[in-house]
Amino acid sequence: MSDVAWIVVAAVVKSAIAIGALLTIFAYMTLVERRVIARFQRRVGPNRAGPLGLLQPLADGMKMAFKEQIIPTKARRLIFVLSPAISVFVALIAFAVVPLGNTTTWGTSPVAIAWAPFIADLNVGVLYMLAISSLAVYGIVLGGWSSGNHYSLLGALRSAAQMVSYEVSIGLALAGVLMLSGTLSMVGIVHAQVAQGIWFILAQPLAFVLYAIAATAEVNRAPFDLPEAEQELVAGYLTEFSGLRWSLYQMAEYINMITVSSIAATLFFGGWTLGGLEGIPGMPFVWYTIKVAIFLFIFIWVRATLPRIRYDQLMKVGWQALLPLSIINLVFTGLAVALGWPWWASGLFGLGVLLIVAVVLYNRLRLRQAMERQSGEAVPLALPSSVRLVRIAPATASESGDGVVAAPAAPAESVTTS
Amino acid sequence: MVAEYVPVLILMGLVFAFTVAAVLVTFVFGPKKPTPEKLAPYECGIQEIEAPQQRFPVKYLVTGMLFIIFDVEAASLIPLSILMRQLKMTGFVELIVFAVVLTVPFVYVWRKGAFTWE
Amino acid sequence: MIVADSAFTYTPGAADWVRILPELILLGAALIVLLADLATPAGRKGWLALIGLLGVAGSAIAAALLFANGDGQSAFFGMIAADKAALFADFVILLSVGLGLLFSPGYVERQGITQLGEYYALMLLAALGMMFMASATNLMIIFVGLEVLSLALYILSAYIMSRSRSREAGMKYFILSSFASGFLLYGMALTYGATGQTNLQAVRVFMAGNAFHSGTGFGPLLIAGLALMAVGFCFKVSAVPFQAWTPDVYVGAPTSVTAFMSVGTKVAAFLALARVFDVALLSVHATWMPVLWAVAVLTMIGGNIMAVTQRDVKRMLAYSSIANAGYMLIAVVTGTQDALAALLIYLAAYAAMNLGAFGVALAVERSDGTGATLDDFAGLARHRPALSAAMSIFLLSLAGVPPLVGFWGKFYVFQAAIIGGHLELAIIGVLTSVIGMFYYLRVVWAMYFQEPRAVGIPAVSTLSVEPPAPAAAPASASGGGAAVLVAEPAVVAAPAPQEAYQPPVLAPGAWLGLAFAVALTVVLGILPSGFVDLAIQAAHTILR
Repeated sequence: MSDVAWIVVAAVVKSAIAIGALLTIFAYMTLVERRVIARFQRRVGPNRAGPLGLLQPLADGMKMAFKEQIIPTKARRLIFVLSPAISVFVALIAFAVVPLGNTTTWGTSPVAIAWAPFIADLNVGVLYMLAISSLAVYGIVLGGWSSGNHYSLLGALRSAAQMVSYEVSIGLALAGVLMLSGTLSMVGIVHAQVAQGIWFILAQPLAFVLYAIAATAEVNRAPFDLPEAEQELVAGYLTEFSGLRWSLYQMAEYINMITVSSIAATLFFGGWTLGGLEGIPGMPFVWYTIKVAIFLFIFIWVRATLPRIRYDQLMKVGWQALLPLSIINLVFTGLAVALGWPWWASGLFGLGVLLIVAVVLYNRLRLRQAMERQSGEAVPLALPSSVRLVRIAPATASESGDGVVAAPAAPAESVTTS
Repeated sequence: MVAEYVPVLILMGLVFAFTVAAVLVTFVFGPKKPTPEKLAPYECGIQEIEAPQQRFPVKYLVTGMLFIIFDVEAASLIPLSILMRQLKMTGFVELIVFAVVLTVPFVYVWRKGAFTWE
Repeated sequence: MIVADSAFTYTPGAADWVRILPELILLGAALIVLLADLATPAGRKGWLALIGLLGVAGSAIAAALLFANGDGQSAFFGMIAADKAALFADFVILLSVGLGLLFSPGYVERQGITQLGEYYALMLLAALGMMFMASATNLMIIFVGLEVLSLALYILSAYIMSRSRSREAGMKYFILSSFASGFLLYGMALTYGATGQTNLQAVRVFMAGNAFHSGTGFGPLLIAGLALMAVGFCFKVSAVPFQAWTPDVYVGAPTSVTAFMSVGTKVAAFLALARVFDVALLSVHATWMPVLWAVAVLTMIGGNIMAVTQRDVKRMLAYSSIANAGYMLIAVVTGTQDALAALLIYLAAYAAMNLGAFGVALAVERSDGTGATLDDFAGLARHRPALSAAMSIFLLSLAGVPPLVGFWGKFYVFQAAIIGGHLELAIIGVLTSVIGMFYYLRVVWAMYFQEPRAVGIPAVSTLSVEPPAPAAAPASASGGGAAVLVAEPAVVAAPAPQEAYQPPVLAPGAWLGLAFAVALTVVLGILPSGFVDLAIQAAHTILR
């Protein structure tokens, strides 16, 4: 066979492996997430289907496939049917440029290169990634809009506004890394880190923090999962979806998580490398997997720990905090790179900015607590005028079920948004 | 360098096949017992008063416009970032000019309340 | 220094930034206006105009220094020219935006315009776009400049949001103009496809090195590109048959904006047109010439004839600007160096007199946007002798009466046409100028020899928007009188019927602007040699 045919074969095989692997990881991510969250909440989680619940994803998948497909009469049929597919399509193809290892070293022929552990090493890799991930909003908006449901539409609009707000910060935060790397190729960025002897997290701590926050918002994960805020919006854009097409949306969300974790690992944490240990055959893939797995765990951890933030706060964080900070980071990194300063200059600067932000936030918290102590009751929240507070009558302490130790008596009153 | 994109296109093709299959599969399996109640929009049991596909709150449109402005600017900054090492101070001056042009309208729309979500 | 791979090895340096210094200063002024808007209380937005004027003045000084001492090279890899033609055009644009800014305070408040910070910033940004378009030596920069100026002007045209005519103007301008931008961009794309270049100089080199046949090779593609670009440019300069938007937009937009854009867009578009057709594509002159020739003839005849029937002076001036575009097109069609010098002279002359004429229209306009018809001008000389004298000077200049600057514009254009072998265009130009004489002088006649008519007593006050007259108001009483009755009952008794016409009090800035325009019209008309020399120098650089 000719070289071209071999290259095509390699691409087909790698693509098939990538799709299969991502779908499998998605399936088991759902299991892992449920188990881990259960552990956080001192529950057990799904453990019935198979040993340790390992067959649970399979059972879920079967169940989903045999559910009835409901297409509401008010829905725009074609778009309603297709929009989950758009989401999954976009999520999967974004993975094309993620390198799981170095370019192959056992030959320089085109065929040998074609079997490298990534689908393509585009010279515009990061840009490709940004471009594709910004398409993800289409699946959600079209799905929510075509449902013909108020909750869906609101969820979709919120999601769209949220994703576009944070995308700007992602682009600007990553530009700082690109200044250091001088290339957009994902493989090239890893090589640049090896060549400079550092992970870019050290030179760009601020950019990493900004990216981490913005990426969490970008994939609609807690604490930024506003589009699916079930207390307000039932299930947001997912409200009218059922069965397999519902799970396609879930699939897209988890694959997007994997993708943004991969970007973080590649751009900030040296990708497949680990201080020279990547030379051992087979190990690059292991390092890469470990790094991504840590990020995925953090995603779950954050979801278990943090409450969902309010929508006006969400937009405020995106536009009034992340965007200015990313511009500051970019300008200073530009100065450092232009003057040829060593990497720790921008690193120290980033840490300094983070420190200042932390001090400011801590002070505001302290101030608030002091005011509360002085007045003896909770300081009114700074709410937008459209939010009204409802006072709920004090709850009587009740016996908690399941033998779980009850939490300390709930506060006498709680506030909720109407 | 078009050849680099061939594997991406192949991936896109496979993914397309997968998604189409996934959507089609949903129509093959599963019961089909539609009732008017089931096909009505989900409104927590309340009957729908008006169709949702009306005009959106203008706030979202403002956000969309701001996004276009700032994202285009961010996209323009990426090539400059790549070349920063070679351009040295020239590049930095351009970055500053760019950042100022980006920041002044940013401050302006901030003070005009475009980022305040009521 | 070498960037990227070997294909593109240009690194901008300090000299590049100096060459676009006028534009940079104007941009800085626009940004400062935006920031200052946040700090200025509502009643004092006039300061923003002052900041803008300072920016314009700084930009003009920078342009003057560059004109005198600059190296005339193009900046940023042949993207933007800093040659004398570009700087001359910058001057004219700065003159028009400066006068536009001078006319604005007072007028804009009277028209009920809010958001004044954005108004002034948009004026400056529109001027910035015009300067970029006039200086562009690359098709892409031409388009970018065009978009910058158009986007700002769409908003400015619709700036009196409470008035439906202004909204209509903005919408009409937006839809038709973006359509024309599409044509222009498509034409540029095809030209790029035919020649492989977007840089005008490179296009010229390509045209010199490759034989052009209309039927084969790159010929058909280039002809299509030429046709589409011609359509786009003709729209932008409001040439017949693409003029339909002009009167409505010029009448509906705030008059200060109209005054500025009627001149500024023409300068920008004509410079770009001249650079594309007379510099880059001069070797196919025979191909595009008949089209532009026909457009020029149509524009001169159509614009002048349509202007004759207008009763509204603003609308008449709009048609007159169409007619003037026709005279300028003569220069482009001729395409010689003399013709380009004549084009620059005409543009400068047109800027002074047309801005002045619109300035007077603005001065007599009422706060509801009416009051600039011939009837309103009747007997104006009785009440406002200075204003009438100024208007007479501008209109006589527009008509081409000898000691004024408009004469020299026409003179040089027709002379260049005759020398360049387009005697027929010169003859048509002279004949249509005679038609023009009629409708310009009719206004002068109305001002000096007609009795004032009691058609409406305009509100003298600075009330932002007059409440509509109630339906019960007596029909015999004039509408304006009824409006005053509603707004300020005490005033009604005071004005006697014969004191029919009293234009609003003019802000000092507007007086200054009018005086400046009069001075330019007269002084340049009497002593044209210096500025004609500058224009000839400038035209010399455009053809390099």
